[in-house]
Amino acid sequence: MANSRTFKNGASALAAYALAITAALFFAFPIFWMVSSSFKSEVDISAYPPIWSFTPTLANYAQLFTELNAWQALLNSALIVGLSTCIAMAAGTLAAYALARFDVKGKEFLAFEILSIRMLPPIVSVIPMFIIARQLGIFDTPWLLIAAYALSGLPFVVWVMRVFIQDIPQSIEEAAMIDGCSRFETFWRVTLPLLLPGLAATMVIVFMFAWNEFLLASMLTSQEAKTLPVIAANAIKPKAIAWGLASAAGVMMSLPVVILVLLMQRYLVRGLTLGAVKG
Amino acid sequence: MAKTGTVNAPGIRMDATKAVRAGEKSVPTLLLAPAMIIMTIVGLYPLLHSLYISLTNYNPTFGTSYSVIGFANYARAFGDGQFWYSVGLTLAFTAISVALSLTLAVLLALLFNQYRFGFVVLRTFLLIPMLITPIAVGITWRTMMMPDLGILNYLLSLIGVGALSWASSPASALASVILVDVWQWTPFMFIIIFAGLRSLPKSPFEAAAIDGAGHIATFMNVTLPMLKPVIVIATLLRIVDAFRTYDTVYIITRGGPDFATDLLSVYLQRVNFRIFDLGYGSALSWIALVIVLVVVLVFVNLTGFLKLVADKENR
Amino acid sequence: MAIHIDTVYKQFGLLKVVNGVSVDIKDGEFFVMLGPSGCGKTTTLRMVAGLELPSAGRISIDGVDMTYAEPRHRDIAMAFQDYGLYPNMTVFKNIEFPLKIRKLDVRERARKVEDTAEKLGLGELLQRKPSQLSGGQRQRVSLARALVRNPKVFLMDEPLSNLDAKLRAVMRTEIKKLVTSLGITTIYVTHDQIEAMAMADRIAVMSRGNMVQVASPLEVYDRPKTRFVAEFIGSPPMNLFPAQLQPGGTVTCILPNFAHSLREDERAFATQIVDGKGGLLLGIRPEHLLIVKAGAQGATDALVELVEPLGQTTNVYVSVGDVRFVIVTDRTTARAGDTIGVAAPSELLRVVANDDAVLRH
Repeated sequence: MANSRTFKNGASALAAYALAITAALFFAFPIFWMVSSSFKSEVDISAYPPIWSFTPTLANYAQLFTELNAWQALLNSALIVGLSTCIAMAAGTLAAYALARFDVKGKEFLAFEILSIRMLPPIVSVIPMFIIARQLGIFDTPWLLIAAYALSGLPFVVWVMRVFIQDIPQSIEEAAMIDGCSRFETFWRVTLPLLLPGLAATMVIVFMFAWNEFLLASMLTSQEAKTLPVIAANAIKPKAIAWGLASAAGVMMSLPVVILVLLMQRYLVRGLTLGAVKG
Repeated sequence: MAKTGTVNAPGIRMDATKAVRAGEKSVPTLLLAPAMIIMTIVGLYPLLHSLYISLTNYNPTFGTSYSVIGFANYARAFGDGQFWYSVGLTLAFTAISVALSLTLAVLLALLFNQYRFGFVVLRTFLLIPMLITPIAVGITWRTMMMPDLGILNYLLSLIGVGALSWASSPASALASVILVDVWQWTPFMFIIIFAGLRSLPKSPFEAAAIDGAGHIATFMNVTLPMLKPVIVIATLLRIVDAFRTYDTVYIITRGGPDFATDLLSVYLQRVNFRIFDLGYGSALSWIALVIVLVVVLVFVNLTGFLKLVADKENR
Repeated sequence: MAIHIDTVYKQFGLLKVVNGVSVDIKDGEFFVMLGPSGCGKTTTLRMVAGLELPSAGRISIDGVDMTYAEPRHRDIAMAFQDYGLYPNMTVFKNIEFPLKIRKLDVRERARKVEDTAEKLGLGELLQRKPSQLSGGQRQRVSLARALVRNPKVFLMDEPLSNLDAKLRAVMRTEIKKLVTSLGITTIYVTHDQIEAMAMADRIAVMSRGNMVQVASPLEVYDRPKTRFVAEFIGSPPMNLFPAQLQPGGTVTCILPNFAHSLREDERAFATQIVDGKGGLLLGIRPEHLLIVKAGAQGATDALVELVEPLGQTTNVYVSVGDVRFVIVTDRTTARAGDTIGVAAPSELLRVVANDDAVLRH
């Protein structure tokens, strides 16, 4: 009896490890392949059967900057995503505070209204934005994308920050007001410090969505305001595909998000589910 | 009163009037204002403008003049076989992809819910795909799925399976695109469901064990019902996003071959930005929007999503 | 500092939470507002604090109208049910915070914080974070934070309800001692009648937004004015019987031997109840009923239904026909099914209004 049980346990552990490693390989292999491709020379990359050991080269990354104008795209991405994230965070957090702490008329309706923007397929708003932008002469400038990304990040910030604010007991703010703080001082000295982890996590996710966005970026820019995903997509031409170059672009644009998110893992689930699930 | 004297804030008004405190009522309005302004100018206005455009024959390639043609675009849309084909394809893509990643995510969450050495590290690998820029995901999978030079067919040949045509033949293109979508977004559902699983109370499982329930009975009768709220939320978010899938499909197949992966977003992009038939494209976008809303509403009603959210709020 | 609450109303939408409360709280008084949840006691307290604004009425503190003043301008301190500690600050920083906001000199701050912490036995814990403290310690920190600036008025919103029973009793006496020695006017909100009885100089029993009775603890216990007060205070609660006012100034009830001839002051009260069309009740505390021999002169024979020996006292549940009531006595030999005699001393019977509304004009 004892023996068969030990055996059973051993077998199930073995099965668990086999399954877990298979799953990890399935999800990690394409990433490994992307990274290794980005360091392969043109010859190595088209070798068949594919080769596993090769002399790594930075040629693809160099080419990224010389041929694809990656510097400008990087600057554009940083500017557009940075500014739009800040706007969405600021406006969204204020609104979230109002919804969490004050009796606002039609609060539930308002909150749902805001959420419905999250449901909106970007393809619906891209046409009017395209037309309006051409009329205003802001087509192919960073401002258009900044506005668009601020809008798409906003509902997310409002919903998630509302939950994070509600997590802070109201009695703490009331204690501060009785201790002598004005409303603003209460927010600044008491609430905000407690919100910092939540703010950081929300910011990372908003950053991620904007940083990775392609549809709007590809249709609302043509030359000047191209972001990283757009130039990466440009590496794919129907005839001659520069795989090494494209992989290098992929690695470069994915890296900041991967690093930021892994740092903020603790709060990630809360943010991704609009605050509905505690991580 | 103690002799040390009271500590008072300097220069205060002891006798604030009702009007002063009533001014506090405008605080929430002020706080909401920036968000409302952004939503109105960047969100609502373009949306209404798009509604207007959808009633015209606007097409910038024919010059700037256009005229209002009423509901002609909508009438045309109902006879547009290609459009409804795309709608059907998108619904199928969404249903299959979400169902697959949900199943896979639940199984993975159960697997990784065991406390075993090394599982924490392995779990991190499962997180990364959802962080990779979709364009990069598309590029990588397209490389890997090349029929002649790709690593996937090479790996298959190692275990004696013949070369597959992957995204390059109409028969397997949709399945390939779904595979990529499942690869990228199962992690999203996995971490949510995993977190939900970890936060479940222990006692119902202990009760089930004492009642003699086996693994499968425990899962069906205890785990699944308790996980329902988490699963519902994850699924809803995934449905909304799957419906608008564009980036990976654009990179891997551009809707082809032979329209096998011509998802709604790809089709709309073609109407709008290849042919620049913006009036018609706007009408199609609005129909698409209504379809999303219907899908979401049906889902919300079937699962009681709103009640779940309200329950969370009132905890 | 005296607090003057003058016909204060509070309405949330259509919901009337506080319904015209008026009360004067004297300088240095320990005033307890007691009632079930939803009775308006916390809302009244929060209006005194300035965390809510009254829909109508005035509130003044120390003679100054503070109805609409901001909380920070009222020079009040408050202890919350969940303590309201700043989780990111150490105990020291928590206690220091009100002084810091008032821009006191750093050294002065440190001195006051240490003094107060010492007084509350927190000297060892100053560098800990709230999450590293027990419930009792947290409540002590919140008290220290409130007391560090010598407030005029101390408001406490069920400060002990998150503690376990034993600790609650300890903290109860500690708070009472501390506040009395400092002579701070205190308003204390609770739903626990024992806390109210033990701590209060005066108790206001609240129900549905009204202060039903405001009096000293023993007065509230001995002479409850309405059914609500009689049943809310005392465990087991007062026995109440529907009663009639007889022409001769006697009150009788369904049990003929339980009759009470009214004294002068009671007569006016009984008349007021009857004139107000409110039901008249005759009440007696369970421990005031006497168990005598069955059939004894002037006693009522009752059937024992259940005996609960609690050690110190014994609850005897009895019935006379359809009428059920309870007797609290010392040890007894009575068993379920026995018939006993019950005597109700006439001077301990009380006239009680069936309905709170009668007391409003």
